[in-house]
Amino acid sequence: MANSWLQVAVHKKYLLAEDILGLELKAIQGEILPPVEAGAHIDVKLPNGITRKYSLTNAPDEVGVYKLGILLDPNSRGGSAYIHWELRQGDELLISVPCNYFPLVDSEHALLFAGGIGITPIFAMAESLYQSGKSFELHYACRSESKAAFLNTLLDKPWADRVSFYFNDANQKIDAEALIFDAELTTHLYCCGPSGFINWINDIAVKQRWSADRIHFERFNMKKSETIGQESIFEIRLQRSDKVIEVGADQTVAQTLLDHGIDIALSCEQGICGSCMIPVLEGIPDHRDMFQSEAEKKQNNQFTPCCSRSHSQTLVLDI
Amino acid sequence: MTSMNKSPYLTNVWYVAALSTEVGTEELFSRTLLDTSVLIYRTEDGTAVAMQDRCPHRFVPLSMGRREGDNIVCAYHGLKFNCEGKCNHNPHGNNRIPAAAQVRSYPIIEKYGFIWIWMGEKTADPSLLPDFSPLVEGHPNSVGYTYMPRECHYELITDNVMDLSHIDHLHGDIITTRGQLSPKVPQIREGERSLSARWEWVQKPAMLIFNQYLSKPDDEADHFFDITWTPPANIQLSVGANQDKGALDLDHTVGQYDLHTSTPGSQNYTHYFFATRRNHIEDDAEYNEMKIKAMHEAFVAEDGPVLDAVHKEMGTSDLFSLNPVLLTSDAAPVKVRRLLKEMVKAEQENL
Repeated sequence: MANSWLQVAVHKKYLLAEDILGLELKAIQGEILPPVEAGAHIDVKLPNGITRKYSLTNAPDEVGVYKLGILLDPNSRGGSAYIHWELRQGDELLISVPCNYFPLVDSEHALLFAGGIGITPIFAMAESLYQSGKSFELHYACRSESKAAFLNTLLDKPWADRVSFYFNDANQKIDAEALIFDAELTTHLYCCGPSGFINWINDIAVKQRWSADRIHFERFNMKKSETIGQESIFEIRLQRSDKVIEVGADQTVAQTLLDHGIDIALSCEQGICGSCMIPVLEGIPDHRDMFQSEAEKKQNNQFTPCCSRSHSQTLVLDI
Repeated sequence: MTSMNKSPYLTNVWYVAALSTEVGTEELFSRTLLDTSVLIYRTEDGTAVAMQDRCPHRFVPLSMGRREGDNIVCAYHGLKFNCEGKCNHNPHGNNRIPAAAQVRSYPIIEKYGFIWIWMGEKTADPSLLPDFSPLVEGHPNSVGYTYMPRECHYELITDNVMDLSHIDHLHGDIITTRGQLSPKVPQIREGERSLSARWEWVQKPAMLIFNQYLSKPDDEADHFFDITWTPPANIQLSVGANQDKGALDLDHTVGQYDLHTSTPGSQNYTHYFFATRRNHIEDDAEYNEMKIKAMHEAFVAEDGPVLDAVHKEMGTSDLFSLNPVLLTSDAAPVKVRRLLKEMVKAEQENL
């Protein structure tokens, strides 16, 4: 989590598609917005006190402005609903500096999958790949044309021929098995969208024995639809054993690890003793233990799998 | 102790050496602190001084000797030392005083009813003595002090006070929370050199040490515990109850301000000191005497034997090496153990 916040104002607010707003933020008081890499997100602190993560859609050459695409979550608890209904052009906000858990890595070809609002970082990735002369293809699945953000923008792009659209209401479906099967060993896969969409793509790739380092995904922040009860679903990547495991809403990380035959030193099972502490290489844990000091928690370099969860979609663990 | 030896204790810090009342005007008071015998006495103007209780010649405890004004004369061969531990008379040979005839003396601060000692190598830093001034502010009949030596490691005493959930299980009716405390996870606050835990709960009737001073003794009352650990082993504990929804602090409750502090004699022996000041019936001398006696007895009869037995059973001071099953109530003591360990490590690395 960023410690220093940038002050920005809403420069433009417009409709990208049904229930999807485009938002452009510009710095105020002479602040300079740091450059954006494709795949990055920012934390947006709304005037109602709520903080939410949103992916940036900026192309690499778009500087001095942060562009966001924000879906109205029907179960919004004040994040997207506030942005849709209350936020006005000129309103001031605090945002974090961009943070990237979903960066592009160098590869011969990129297979991009976007589901619904998951297009926001994927759009930035496609533009970035195009501008750097890289090979890619984009598969964009949406409920309907009217709900497809960036539809016209995509069609106008010089790389429009690399984009395939799939609309649910027209019974169009990505043939992900074939696309993934046909990919070269040097291809990397990027996927963003609802949890079910990501799981589907990931499972196919895993079944086809893709190594975890070629699979990149980010679950966009739509908490309610991804939660069972109060808890979110996220994944852990085990760096040393090269495994990716999903942690369900009703499971602890510890339980998930044990279920996968990975032994961990559990003792109190409630974040008191610190016995089970695991080093974290990437991602932001949602620390719920009482063992670490506040300063230790801020370092985000270890967490207690018995009770802590994850703020980021992926936690990379050094086990 | 030379600077090359690694002490298992935090040393650049103030420990209680004795209650002020334990050291009289004439006597040579001796107590083992941090594996070191220490002589404490008062100079003729009443100032407490401390030095190692060991003559550098043949290692006789100086407390076996006699006073000569503010000087101490060793019982064995008559070497005389001033109150700073410097030899100022050698009756042998040509009376030359060897430069090595110097007893290590220790800085002392007498404050809050205790004699505090600094046994570290660094220059004593009075600002590191926490503020326990409420102990000495108020009526003399509303404060009590006691000393309770124990055969256990001092960190077990810290654990015992940092985890107050034991009071419903180990102690009798008088301070029971009627099961209200154990389910609560304390609120923890981290300070620069401190760790605090706070519990708030409701019970009916109020704790029996307080209920008769509340307007409705048999009714429900709001309670709080607020404890703050400061290194090495001080725990300031405030507890109180009210029935008017007022703030849960000592200004708005019937309550008391306590200090639990312990000083290791060795790894197996601890000097446990306790002080308590109440904010009600402040001038009642009889009650005051009964109160400190009751608290002393409760500790000696209830906590003490358990802690001694735990110490014996553990056979080590390293709690975590035994893989204890820990509970929510252990959050604060575990954090304190870690903080202390880090402080000791930092001190050892700086030697």
